[in-house]
Amino acid sequence: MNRPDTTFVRTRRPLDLDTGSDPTSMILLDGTIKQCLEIGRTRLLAAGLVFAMAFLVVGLRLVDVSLLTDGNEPRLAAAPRSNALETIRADIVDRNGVVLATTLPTASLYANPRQVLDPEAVAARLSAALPELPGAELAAKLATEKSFVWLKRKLSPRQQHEVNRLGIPGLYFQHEPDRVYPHGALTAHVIGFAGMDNRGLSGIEQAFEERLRGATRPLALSLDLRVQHVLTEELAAAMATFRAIGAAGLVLDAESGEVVAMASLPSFDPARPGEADDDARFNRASLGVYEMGSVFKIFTTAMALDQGAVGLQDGYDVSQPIRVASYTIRDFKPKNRWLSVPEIFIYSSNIGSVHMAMDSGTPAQKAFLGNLGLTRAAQIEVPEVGQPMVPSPWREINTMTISYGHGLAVSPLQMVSAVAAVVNGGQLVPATLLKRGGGERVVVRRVLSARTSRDMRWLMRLAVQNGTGRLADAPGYLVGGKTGTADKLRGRRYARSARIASFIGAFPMDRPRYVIFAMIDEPKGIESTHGYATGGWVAAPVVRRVIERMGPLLGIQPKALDEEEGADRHLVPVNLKGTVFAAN
Amino acid sequence: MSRIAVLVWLTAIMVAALGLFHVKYEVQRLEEELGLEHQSILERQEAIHILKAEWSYLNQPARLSDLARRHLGLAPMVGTQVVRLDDLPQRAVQKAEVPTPTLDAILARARNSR
Repeated sequence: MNRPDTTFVRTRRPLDLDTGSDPTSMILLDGTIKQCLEIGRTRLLAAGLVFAMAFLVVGLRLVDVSLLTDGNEPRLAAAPRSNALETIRADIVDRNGVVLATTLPTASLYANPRQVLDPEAVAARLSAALPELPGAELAAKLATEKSFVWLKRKLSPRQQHEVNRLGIPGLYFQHEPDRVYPHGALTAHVIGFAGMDNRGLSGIEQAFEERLRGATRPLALSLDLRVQHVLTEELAAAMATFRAIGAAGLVLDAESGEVVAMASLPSFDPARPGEADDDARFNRASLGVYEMGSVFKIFTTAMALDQGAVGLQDGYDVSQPIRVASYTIRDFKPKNRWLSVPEIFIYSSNIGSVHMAMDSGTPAQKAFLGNLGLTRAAQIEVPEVGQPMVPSPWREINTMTISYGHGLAVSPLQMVSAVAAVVNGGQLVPATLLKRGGGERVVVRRVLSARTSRDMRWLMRLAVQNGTGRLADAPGYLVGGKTGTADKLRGRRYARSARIASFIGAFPMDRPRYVIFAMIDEPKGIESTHGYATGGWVAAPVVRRVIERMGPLLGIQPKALDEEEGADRHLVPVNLKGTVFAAN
Repeated sequence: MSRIAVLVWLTAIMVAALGLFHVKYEVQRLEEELGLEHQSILERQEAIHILKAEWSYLNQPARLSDLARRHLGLAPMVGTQVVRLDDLPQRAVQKAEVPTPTLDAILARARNSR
């Protein structure tokens, strides 16, 4: 068959299929072919046009996308993948940016015992490199049929290098982040610690678990590491000197309520919290509650003055001990005469304080101490907060004992917050462990008048200049404060031999910047203190040395010494035994 | 005419293709370089992070005060060592005998400086 394609080949020769037809059919046929061709051409043109349009659109879009549009596309093919190092837990820093807790990568050693050829020999070589791993135990671990066994978690870089140098097949490293505390025991009670899985288990680490996890921005605390060191060192020295069982200290910014230092001794290594006993892990500064003793006379005096129950010129006869029920309230060093209110305060007379409290009344005392935050647990960021032991019911006898600091046990943290309110002009400022910006004072409430606060400041200054707190006087810093010595409760009785010696002070007294508290738990009297282990002999010198060392560090201008002071001094005279004393 | 056009187009296609491949390889190379840079940045940041921890560790106040005491003979400063500038006594100013310049001397100096 050699039939040409009839549709598209134009031919003069009659087609086979048309043979035998009339001649007109040829013309007809010619016309039909022409018609077909016309249709074909039209279709071709239409299709071509459609395609041309499509290509035009594609082309235009191409130009649009490649040359004109850039709004939807990133300018860079790959945006920077890493601007900041990703750690699984944010750092904790002090107020000056010193790293207190950070997360570092460490290597943990594991083995695939199936790949270890000679367990005995490998164990021997490994325990030579890591002496803390006993060889026999290692050999037993390596001889198992498992394919994974931990040998040692969290090696130091040096240990990792040592193991790597052995080149034993079958040993591998797993990189794990580990929480590191560069300052160890110094900040252990505040920072707390994190467990093996890097979850916070105490202190700031626990309280700010959500904030720290997966974050990169460091958490700035209110602590000043230098002051923390000074406080800890001085407390430790006093503890050693007086063979005490513990100590606690706090430095609080009286204006902003920031805790600049918080120490509790004995301390522990946060890297190995499991090895420390419960006593070392116990935060005496915020969790422990103690009957504070005579430091409470600050509140009793402030209350009596603020309510107008007594004036600065008033006084009481303290020659007779007070007998109530089965108790007899005596003075530690009886003066056996009439004492003015300032004298009662600076000589720390229990009898005088009881009189002042009784003149104010039980409801007033309850309300006043409640306002100062002494009857409810302190508000602070760490979870270790002690619940104060408040007498219930609060009877007259409780009012009497509380007036000189027995019968109401509070934490040192509550103490410093309350004293800060007394000296800073009368406003209770919430204590915080976080750095506060701006220096704006956050006030909870006014607890006493500015006038009473001023009177209390110079009464506290007098107690240091002429009273029981003489050893706390750091020259030039106008230290004011009050000593306290309390017998500890043993069961239901007070023990004469176990005491809490404390001192709470503030400086400089013309405009207090810092409130400092030092407390020594069960100090024993020594020869140089004539056998005394009271607040004035034990805790006051600690506060003096802390102030002497932190004053220059924090840039606090020392005032001219008393003997160099000129006539411009703001005098508030007080008559003691016929001598006129003055204080700022 | 059409042949020239074809030739021109072919050349253009060749140039475009070559250019495209060149750019592609260049981008690939740069991307590799960028990746390496990112990696080294990360490594540096990690190193800085570790060094910061070490710096903090080496700056333990107890260690510093011990070093200062042993090697520098320093002791903690006390408030009595701080003195305000206002408290310093005025320095005794000694008036040197300066001769009052005569008019001639002033004129001579002015002439010289000109």
